[in-house]
Amino acid sequence: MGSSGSGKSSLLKTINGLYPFEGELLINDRRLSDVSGEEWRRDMGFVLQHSALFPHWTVERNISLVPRLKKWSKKDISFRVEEVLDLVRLPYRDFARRLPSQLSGGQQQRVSIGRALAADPAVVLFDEPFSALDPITRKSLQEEVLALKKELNKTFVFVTHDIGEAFMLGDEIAVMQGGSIIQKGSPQEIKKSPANEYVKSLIYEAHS
Amino acid sequence: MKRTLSFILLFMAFGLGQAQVRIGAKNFPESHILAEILAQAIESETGQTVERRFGLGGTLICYEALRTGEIDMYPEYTGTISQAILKSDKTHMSISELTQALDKQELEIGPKLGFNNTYVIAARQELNLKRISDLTERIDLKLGFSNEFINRQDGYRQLAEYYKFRFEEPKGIEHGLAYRALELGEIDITDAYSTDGKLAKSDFQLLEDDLHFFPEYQAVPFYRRDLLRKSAEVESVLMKLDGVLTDEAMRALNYQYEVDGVEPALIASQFLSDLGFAQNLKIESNVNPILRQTREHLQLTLLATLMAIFVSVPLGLWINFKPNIAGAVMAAVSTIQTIPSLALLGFMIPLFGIGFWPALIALFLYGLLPIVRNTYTGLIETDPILVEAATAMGMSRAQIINQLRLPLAYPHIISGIRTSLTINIGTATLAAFIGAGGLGESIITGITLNNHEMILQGAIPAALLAIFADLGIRVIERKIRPKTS
Repeated sequence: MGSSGSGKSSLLKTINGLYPFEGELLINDRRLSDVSGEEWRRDMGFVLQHSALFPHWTVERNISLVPRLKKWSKKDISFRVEEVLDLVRLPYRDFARRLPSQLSGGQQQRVSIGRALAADPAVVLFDEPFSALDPITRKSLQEEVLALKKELNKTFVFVTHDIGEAFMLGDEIAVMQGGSIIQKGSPQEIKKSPANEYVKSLIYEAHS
Repeated sequence: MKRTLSFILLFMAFGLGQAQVRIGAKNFPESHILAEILAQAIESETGQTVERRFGLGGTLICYEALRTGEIDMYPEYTGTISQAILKSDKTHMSISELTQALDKQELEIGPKLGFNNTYVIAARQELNLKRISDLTERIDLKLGFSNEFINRQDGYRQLAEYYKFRFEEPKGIEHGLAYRALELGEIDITDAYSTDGKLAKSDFQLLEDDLHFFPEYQAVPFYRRDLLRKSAEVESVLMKLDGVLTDEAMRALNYQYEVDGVEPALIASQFLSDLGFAQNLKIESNVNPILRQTREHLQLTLLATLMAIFVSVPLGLWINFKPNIAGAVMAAVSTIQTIPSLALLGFMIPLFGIGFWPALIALFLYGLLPIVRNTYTGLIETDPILVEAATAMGMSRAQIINQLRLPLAYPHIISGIRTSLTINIGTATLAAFIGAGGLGESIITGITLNNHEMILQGAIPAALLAIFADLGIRVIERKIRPKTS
């Protein structure tokens, strides 16, 4: 977590293999430098701030994007789409054929999460996915993510500028400021011993 | 798509059948009638089919067409050959001198048809002018000369010098409109042809060329030497036409055409049968030409637009990846569009001759801009957030183009195609000037004859084609527009 300009989105994009960096990036013993950028990204879910669904595609087509890129069989894809829509609580029967413009903002973001989960990636990146939603929708989606995190055995990397959201969703929080991580730890550790005045002010803000 | 394409190609092939002799004519009545006489005489005597390429836009286009073999023969005048084509300094060249001068180009002239259609200067009766030298002291007259007369070697400039005129530069006026302007007093003098049918019954004063400036304009068949190789009988046909038309006879034929509105084909057929030619004439142009012209018009515009699509869409796509040259490409295709259509058609002649192909290429070039521009902007305007998402999902650049940016740009591209096609349907009416036929034939002939009905015969179908093309593409547009709501 961090305020805008702290470098959290850049970090996320670096993990996604979009930015050059020094050092090494490994996921389950797989090195970024061993595969193509596209292959790397297909093994990783990404939920953007705006749902960024393709407006000319149905919900089903949008969700099947990555499985198709990975050349899954038709049968596997349609089975998976149903499964994923179930996960994000959008009944297949009612939603599969709709176009993004026929969905509410919250529903669009659910489809976007479904799209990120579709190819069953080990890691899912979230880039402030709920910041553009109204508070009630945001709350329910946060609960959704929490449930998904428990249900699916996946690593979620979730970027937010909202410390409350970070405390609610995070097992481990990295606080960023000016391009570097200034503190890392569980919500309890951070609350107990903030690393500096900035972190302290964030905690104060969360309780005010 | 494949079926539409093969249909169009079939449509194109239809009507491109090879005729053995191709005869051209300039876009004025006398040339039409003479060309029709030549064509029918050949058809009657040799039984060969003659393809008529009438309405060509002026001497240089006819000459270029003859030189490049687009046509085999057309009626020309000796004075025009010596002055405008051979650019001779002599005011008068004899037939044998002309024959010699044309020898190198493998061109020949046949026996004189008999009349001398020289330029005359026509003035309004009220001005009481008798001779051209009466103009010398005047500076108060409104001149209205045809563009060809103003620009040709033996035209206005030399006349003005010869007679020591003191007028300012004259304005160009379409010859077909000049008499009307003269009647209305909008102009005082204009150039005319001595055999002009309208002059016979008009009350314009024809000014005497008292200082003998104008050279002789003896009408002759002007043809390629290889025509005689292709068909030796043509020579004897031309011998039969030697001297058959006096000035009066020609003026009478012109009068029938211009004033009585008789078809050139019928005038020619009547004239030839009076001469004793066989009566088995097929009168092609008696058939309503609108269908043929519409077909030619569609052939030109559809094929030109198809070619423009096949070039413009990839080009628009390509410059999307090369932002540093995108500007240059856009500037280039925009520049083409700023060239006046008639000038662009003119540029094509030295490169591609006359007829279908140069017109096709000109229209193709014209059609590029709207499609390139719309493809380019359609692609570039894709929401960057969508491109970012697509990249984050692991789509390759090609996949982003094919699955995201192109589908979202389709409506732009299609409306570019729509603009291109409708512009081309309009522009193609000018293609008749370089012998490509189409509905412009009726329009140009109508302007030549000051015949409004004939102008409308070409203009209305052209307008309808444009409207239907526009509507048709809008329907396609609605069908393939990616549904986003």
